[in-house]
Amino acid sequence: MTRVNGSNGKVPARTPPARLESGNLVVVGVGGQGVILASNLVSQVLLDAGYDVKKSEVHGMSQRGGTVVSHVRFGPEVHSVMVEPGSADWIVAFEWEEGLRSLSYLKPNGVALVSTERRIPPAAMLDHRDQSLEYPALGEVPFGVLALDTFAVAGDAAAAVPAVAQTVLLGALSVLLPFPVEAWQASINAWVPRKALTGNLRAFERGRALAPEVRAAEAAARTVARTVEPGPEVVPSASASPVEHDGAKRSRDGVAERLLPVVRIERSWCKGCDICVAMCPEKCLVLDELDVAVFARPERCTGCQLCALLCPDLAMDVLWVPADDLTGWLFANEEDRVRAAADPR
Amino acid sequence: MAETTRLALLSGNEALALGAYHAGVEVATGYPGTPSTEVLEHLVRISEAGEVDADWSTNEKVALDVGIGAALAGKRVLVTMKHVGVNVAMDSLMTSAYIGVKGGLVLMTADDPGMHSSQNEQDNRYLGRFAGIPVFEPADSQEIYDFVQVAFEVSERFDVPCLLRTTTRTSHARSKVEAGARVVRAVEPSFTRNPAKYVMLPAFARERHVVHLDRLEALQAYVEEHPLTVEELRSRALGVVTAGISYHHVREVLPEASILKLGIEFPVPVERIRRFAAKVERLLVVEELEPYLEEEIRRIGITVEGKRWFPRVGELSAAVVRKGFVEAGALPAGDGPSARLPVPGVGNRPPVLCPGCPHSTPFLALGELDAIVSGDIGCYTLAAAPPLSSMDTCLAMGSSIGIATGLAVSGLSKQPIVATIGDSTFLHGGIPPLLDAIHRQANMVVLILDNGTTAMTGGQPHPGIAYDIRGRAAPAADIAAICRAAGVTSVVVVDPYDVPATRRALRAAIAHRGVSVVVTSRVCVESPVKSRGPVYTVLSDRCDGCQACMKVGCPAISWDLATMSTPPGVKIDPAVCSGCTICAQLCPSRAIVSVRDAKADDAKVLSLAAAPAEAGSAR
Repeated sequence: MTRVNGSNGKVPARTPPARLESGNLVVVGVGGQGVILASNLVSQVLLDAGYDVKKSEVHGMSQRGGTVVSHVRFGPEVHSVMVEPGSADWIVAFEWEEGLRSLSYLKPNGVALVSTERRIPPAAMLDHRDQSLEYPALGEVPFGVLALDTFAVAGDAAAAVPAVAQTVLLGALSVLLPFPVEAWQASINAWVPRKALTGNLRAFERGRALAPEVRAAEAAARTVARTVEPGPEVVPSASASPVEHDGAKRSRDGVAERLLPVVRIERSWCKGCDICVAMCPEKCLVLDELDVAVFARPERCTGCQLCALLCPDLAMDVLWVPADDLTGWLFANEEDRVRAAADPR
Repeated sequence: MAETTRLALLSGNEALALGAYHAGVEVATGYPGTPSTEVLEHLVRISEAGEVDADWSTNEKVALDVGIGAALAGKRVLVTMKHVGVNVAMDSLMTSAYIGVKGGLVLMTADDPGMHSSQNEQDNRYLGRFAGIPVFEPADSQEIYDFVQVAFEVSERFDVPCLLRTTTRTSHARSKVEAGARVVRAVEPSFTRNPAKYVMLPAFARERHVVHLDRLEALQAYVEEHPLTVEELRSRALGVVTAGISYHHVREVLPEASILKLGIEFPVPVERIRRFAAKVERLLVVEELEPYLEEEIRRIGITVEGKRWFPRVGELSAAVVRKGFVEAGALPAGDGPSARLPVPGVGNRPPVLCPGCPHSTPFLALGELDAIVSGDIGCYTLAAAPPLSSMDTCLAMGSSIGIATGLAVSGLSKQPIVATIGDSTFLHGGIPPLLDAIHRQANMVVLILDNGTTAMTGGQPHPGIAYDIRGRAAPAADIAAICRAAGVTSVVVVDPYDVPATRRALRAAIAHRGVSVVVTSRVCVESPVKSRGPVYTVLSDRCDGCQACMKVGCPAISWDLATMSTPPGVKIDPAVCSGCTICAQLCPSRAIVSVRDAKADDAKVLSLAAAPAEAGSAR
């Protein structure tokens, strides 16, 4: 292992060893991003170099927008088909969150090449009321991770087929593996569909051109790993490109004022037809004892206005009111209800 | 032979197809099911139509029956299915051991430890033992290729079907395979009348049961010295009996241990195990799922440890096996790599229905109608998860209709009762329960989600599709006509992309007394011919963030991060949108329009659609 003085910031030009004994690679991404194709492509290079190779992934439900993980192991004789947690030499991640999720596989001194492409899943967003997002920030780059804006690096190489941008990561990976560029090109030629071939070869070249940054990341991982316990340590990244900063939890809270929807019901116009109650997607409305619609579950209202649009008597409308005033609005409504109940017309 | 494999690494399923092909298989059938599906698909890829008669069957039992028939005609037959599929075929399998085969018959059961894509993780070694047929369990692609050829020989030699068990990891992992060439079997199909062997009247079956038991004795003697059972003597301190993928985990974690690796797990080679146990000081069994071998070994009076250290739930991995050995004291504590803690803020990424999935609107409508939904197996089972959250039961293939019937005849009357079932699943196991529901006059709706394919497993044809596995034209069953013929008086076919029509059809069906059928007919977005309309976009000045569109759970719809600081905004990823129009129909603000309309509308709208960031700040 090369000794590197981490403090001077200089990284010696380091070439990969002439021959690796064995290695573990994990390729991750979201269904449809080309994870399996990429791991096939790498496996081809390894096979051509004479290794025993085993490769494993789970098909089936992972096609449908779920996580896809492919394990590639090589050496003189490979047994288990899966990379154990904490034993991946390299991680190639096509998506930011999946990259962070896969870090449990990484060796303490391993390198993760992670695209900053974000595929925010529907599940992270479907919070009807506070509309917050659960998705890790781009700003904090965990230790051992090289965050790469693959679209920026790929540039026009990915213009025709956007998925090609991720091939940048394979170019970057090729810097860390001791195989001639021709072997990679041959494998790309063998595996990539013809219409995307030129773009893939160019994206690969651009990734490979990041060699200084990739080697710096590798050297940093090797240096710091001696003193830092494996864990979710956050250290400044040796990032090849600036990443944008945004909050881990994004919400409308705290930005100017927070608006919440309120259904205002003109009680004297409501004839209790039940349409709004039946059609409200969130079941916010009920009929009271007088068969008049009541905004019973304000905490579920998304402000979709379906009730207002459907009401044949135009008895309802939806207002967006400041969160601070919400109690006042609801309370006024409740007063209406109590008064009407006491004095039926 | 059309060679298509470019990578010298074969998946276990590809190796199984190749091994069967090289063994001279002439008839192949099965029913799609993860992780077994790729076997037939690959066999079709590497063989000519004249060499192998391959196609999917209606269900697993039909597949096995077809296979038995072809075997009786002297052909070598491969039948493939997932573990739970064998339950469906079990009726035929039990007695097939009595009547035997003529040509070799290998039944592939693809077990799914860890339930990557299954409703249970049953261990089918027990089913092989129950049926009294040999059970082979290979550990990697090379072994799968080799074992399937041995299995054909054993099948013919002992006149018995053979079970070849793979697991998700052996089926889907890729490793090197050295392959031979196809053996051309010059067998003319023939059928010899032999009622005493082939007609299982009680009198004949009693005779055959004796034959079956004699055969088991012969098989027991055969497996004892079989070369597929391998003894690897290393350290005498610890011996491990194992089989299948677990073998590689043990080799990975404890390279010094002596190993007895079983290639055939039924009958269990008990004398081999006895001899091995005598050579080591301590005996452990490492096996996935049930303590099958452990019980067999304990039964012959040998002290053995197994499930005490290794889990009975989920799939094994090197890490899990390592943990077991540490707890058993065979490895020092703290052995092995240590993993990082999870990064905070990383959420779940559950599987979702595809953009434009025609299953989404019927389930959206069912949610609005507050129906009790008896679901079934297929992509649409994902409707149980948010945001659709409109499935209440899911048990086994075709169970939806029977369970709904049971709920309906129990007198539940407050909520409508709806069974939902896909086209392939309906043909697989939905017709008998439909007949039952009609005969019982159950008050319920059967919603048949017809997307013209077996979608969950990657789009295989079924008897309702006008082409076969090789893409040749084939007769197709008409699902609506089947329902009418069964006696359903109210059968409506509706396009699920028409949201109001789907809602109306379901409301009308619920109002109908007795069994009514709604067929939502729209081809799967991932079918061979991808259906794509013009892409849709959100006019951010009209969107008020009500999330009516998000209720579909479409992966193309997300929050517009550029407008998150202002009142909410939604965007549609044009690369993901399939142009299905469902979200546009749901939007109360009419903020979702096709890009084409947006362009026609006016130039301002166009600029907003192209630059959402500006649109946000303009509000």
